[in-house]
Amino acid sequence: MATAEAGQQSPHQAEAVVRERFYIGGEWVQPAGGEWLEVVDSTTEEPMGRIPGGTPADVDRAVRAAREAFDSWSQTPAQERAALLEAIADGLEARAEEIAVLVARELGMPVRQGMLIQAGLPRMSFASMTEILANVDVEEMVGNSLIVREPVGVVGAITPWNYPLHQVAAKVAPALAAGCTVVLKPSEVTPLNAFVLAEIVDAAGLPAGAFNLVTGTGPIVGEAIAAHPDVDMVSFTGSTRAGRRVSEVASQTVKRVSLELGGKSANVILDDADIERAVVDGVSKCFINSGQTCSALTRMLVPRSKLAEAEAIAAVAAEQSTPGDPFDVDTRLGPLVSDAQRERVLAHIESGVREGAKLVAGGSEPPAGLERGYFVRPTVFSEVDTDMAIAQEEIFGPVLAILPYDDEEDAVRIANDSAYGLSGGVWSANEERAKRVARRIRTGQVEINGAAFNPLAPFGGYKQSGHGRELGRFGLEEFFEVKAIQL
Amino acid sequence: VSTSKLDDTRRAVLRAFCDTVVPRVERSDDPDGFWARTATDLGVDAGIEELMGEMPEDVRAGLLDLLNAFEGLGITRVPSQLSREQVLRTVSLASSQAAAGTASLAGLTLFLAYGAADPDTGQNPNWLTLGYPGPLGAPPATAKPIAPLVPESDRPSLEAEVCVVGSGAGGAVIAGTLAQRGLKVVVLEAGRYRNEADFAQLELKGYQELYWRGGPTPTADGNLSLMAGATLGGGTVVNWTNCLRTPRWVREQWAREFGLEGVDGPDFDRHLDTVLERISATDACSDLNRPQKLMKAGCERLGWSFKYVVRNTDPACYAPGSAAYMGFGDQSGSKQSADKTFLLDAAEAGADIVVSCRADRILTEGGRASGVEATYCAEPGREAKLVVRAPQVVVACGSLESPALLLRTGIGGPAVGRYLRLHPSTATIGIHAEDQEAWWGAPHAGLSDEFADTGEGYGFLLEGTQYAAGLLGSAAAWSGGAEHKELMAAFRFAAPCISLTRDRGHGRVTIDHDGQAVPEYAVTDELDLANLRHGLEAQFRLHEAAGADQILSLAAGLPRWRRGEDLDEFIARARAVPMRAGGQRLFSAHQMGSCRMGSDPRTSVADPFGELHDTKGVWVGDASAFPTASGVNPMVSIMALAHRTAEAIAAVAERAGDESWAGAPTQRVGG
Repeated sequence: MATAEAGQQSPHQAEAVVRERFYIGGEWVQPAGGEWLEVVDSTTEEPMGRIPGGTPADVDRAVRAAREAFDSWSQTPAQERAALLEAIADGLEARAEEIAVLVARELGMPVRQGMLIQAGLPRMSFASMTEILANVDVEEMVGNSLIVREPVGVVGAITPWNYPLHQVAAKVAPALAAGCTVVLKPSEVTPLNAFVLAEIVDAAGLPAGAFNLVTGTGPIVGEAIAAHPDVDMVSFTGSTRAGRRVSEVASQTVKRVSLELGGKSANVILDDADIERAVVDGVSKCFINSGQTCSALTRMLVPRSKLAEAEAIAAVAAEQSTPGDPFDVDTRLGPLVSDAQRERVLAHIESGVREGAKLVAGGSEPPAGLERGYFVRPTVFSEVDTDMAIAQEEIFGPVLAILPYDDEEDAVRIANDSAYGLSGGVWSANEERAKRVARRIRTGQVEINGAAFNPLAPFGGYKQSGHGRELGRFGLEEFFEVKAIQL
Repeated sequence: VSTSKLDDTRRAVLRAFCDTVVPRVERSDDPDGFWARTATDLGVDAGIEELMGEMPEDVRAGLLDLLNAFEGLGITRVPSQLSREQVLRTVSLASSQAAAGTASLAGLTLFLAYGAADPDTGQNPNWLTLGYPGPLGAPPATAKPIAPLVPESDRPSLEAEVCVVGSGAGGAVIAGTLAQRGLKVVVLEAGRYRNEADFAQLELKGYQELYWRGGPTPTADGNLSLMAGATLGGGTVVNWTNCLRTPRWVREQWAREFGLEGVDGPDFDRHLDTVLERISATDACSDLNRPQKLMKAGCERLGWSFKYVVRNTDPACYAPGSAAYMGFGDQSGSKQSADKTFLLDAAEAGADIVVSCRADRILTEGGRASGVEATYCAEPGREAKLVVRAPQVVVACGSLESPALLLRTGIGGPAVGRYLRLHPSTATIGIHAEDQEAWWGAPHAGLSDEFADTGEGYGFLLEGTQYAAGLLGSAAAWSGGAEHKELMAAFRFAAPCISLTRDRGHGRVTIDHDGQAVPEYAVTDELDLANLRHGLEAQFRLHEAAGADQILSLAAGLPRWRRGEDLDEFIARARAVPMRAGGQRLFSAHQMGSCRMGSDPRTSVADPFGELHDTKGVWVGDASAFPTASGVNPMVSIMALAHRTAEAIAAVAERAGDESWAGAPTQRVGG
């Protein structure tokens, strides 16, 4: 694995990655326009590569290729499709280190974590499809009706930068498994890993046009995909603001829209919980990927009587999360993805101070010893009121808000006092009690006492966190239409 | 060099892993504490840590990476068994390498939890519930009739007319035959010399002392688990004494397609008869144990063939009550293994036998054999180079190590290591109402060859199998703690069965940067896949016909059929399980073909009498010489083919001897 050992060339100094073509219809093709977008290394703030900026004409070409491929791909036996997805999984495994290194540079996630999360998770999405396809009932009888599930058609996949290839794979793998064809637009901030995927797809021998890659910005390429009349479904992951826009544009052609958006998830620590374990776990998970995680548990709800204790534990835990170079083997916290993101997060921290929240750890000053890179100090606020902006707005940075509550009822009320509904946590010594509270939290996922992440469990939001589910069997079913044939 | 100790974090991760694999399961009815007992209660974590200290550096590093991955997903922090099991699943999904690593670490955990005995008591507390008796007797003080040669100087060198590398079914026959013909023979064996006095009827000890790489070892791709003998006498010391003659159609194929002249006729019958006689093959010691009686009844009900097996057993000391332990060495001494037969002949005829001696490479001069360079290592850390000068060198280290030796030497041509055949086998168990005591009696006393040739000479045999607690525990795929304990709780009621597939496709042996053998094997041949699936189906039908209440396949998820359920539906599901890592568990006790004979140097290593195409004086004398898989348990085929090769070597060596030794017969070294 790459490390920043003395004497070795740092991966940050690797040669620029220049991508000049889109992958459309099984070929690497020249973009229609002449725009370029620069990709920046988040640790050095230096350019690390560039990609073409696509246009609506590129999108149209990709959609036509996907449309042409749809008939035969959707008729291909599921087992054959699964075998091709496994070949893609093998390709991802073979290039896992390259992917983790790319993402560590583009995004800044420490490479050791990235091997499992940024390279391993995408492989899981492709590798898990064989078994899921084998166990999903695509046909059933209802009275005299034969119910069949069929692929929805051409899917436009628009993905963000925070878990770039995972979010790509979470759409592309099930869409292809279901028999759909895909036009992918990855985030222009972290696009390089998607080109690796396209090469893997090509080498795996997927039929031409089943998977297509066009890069560019949201307002141009993203909107062109959402607006295209021949796209049957848009699957979008990103901010709630952008998700609203995708919905609006897509509504003109009444296409199916699936949205996986922001979150402001509550971690409810009940009064009988092991507070030390709960707070330490909560802080470390809030800061994973420098807090750039839509399902991060960014609001920690603690009994008012235990607020001081929670603050003290959280402060120590936060101090121990020192940011550093993502290629340093000991680094758990890398930089943020971009200058713009850092500025947004710093503005949130300043607003927290302004609104009177108690700063327990971190703050808006740059972390010591890191002159370059989009680093932010891991920050903990306490005595946060549910009306404050830092309790309501998604920050997407290493910022935790601790909110006191009076009783279980109050905790549930505060937890649900959010426009979002993506995830949550409950801690209690009594599992039954924890489950009871979990059921009352209006979110797509809840973890109890720091339970393990399940990459095959349905993932998605209530309320303004979006609609639709990704991953596992539920993720596959998103890409089915249902037809009734009366007999 | 890293220390063998784990740091506290990793030790905690290892403990959490072990107790995820063998967890505490709450049961109101748990008189023996079986359900509550965890792996760490038995000290399994300490056992693994100790074994890790002995592992090659890269294997150890891989395990440490795996422990880091478990830690990264919080195995020590997550709150429940469900979450811990999810951590294992998630890590396994992240890469096939991690999946293989997780499966083999789980296998090791299960092996120790059910197979290892407390050194103080000689027992494992789980055996009470399993009904497994453990060791039945203490090793007798049987003397070792062969006196191995101990090289004395720092750079010892020996001279011989023939140097045989490996002392298993092939090497022993060649050494014995040639020594009896008056040739000066030196045998090099990487393993040690063990006999009844060392056979404690304990699985762990048996595997560590007698098996290649210390017991069941996965192929590099994790698809199959390999078992091979690695002791003086090789596989014959640990095998199940199945004396099957090479099938007619295999002999015809070898003669017709590979140019092995005479193998299809009476000449080869003579070789077969000779070796069978020397190892006292008899049908007088083939008592069926309960599972095999059930097999017989099932076969009769289904109208399938059932045959008693001829075994190389001395009726005078045959002890069926402990015969099941013969996979860990036969304490009764009745097994007529190579060390009691051909190797003894060799020693008595003046051959020098060196144990604890690993061949590094074959020496050549002017494009022909001139000897062997080896490393003698009687105790760890004290190694000495040994050179054996010999004009004839026999490679007989087994199909995993023979190609590695040729590859390290750089001879043998493009076919070295290719055409590795493994007889991939699946195993199933039928669960009955009564205790089966499957650890009584010879593992192979009967078989069904009903499907030995399902088409084109390929097919499978249905056979019994050795049954022991650690073996079953680790052979049954782990995909959940409680589920696996359920299986082990039924251990005593289980009748095991295997189907052994004659494979048309093949794997490959390569070497890594240290020159160590790396076997790989993926079942991709359509006929093999069909026969493997058919073999599973046949086992299920056999268990059903034999009256089993439940049938279990050892695949991931431990699929289970219960009487009353639709068997065809169960079979259809089992047939859909992929034949590879993460799917059906596949085993191989037979490795063949990796240095095969044939007339075409592009597709074979040795000529039809066993001499290398590209290096005169180097012969292949073990199962690696098989042109294709034997289709039956290979010991007798190996011995007969080796006997044939020995005669060819003798013809060459005696001619050479007449020339070079003429007038100076007393100069022969050693003796």
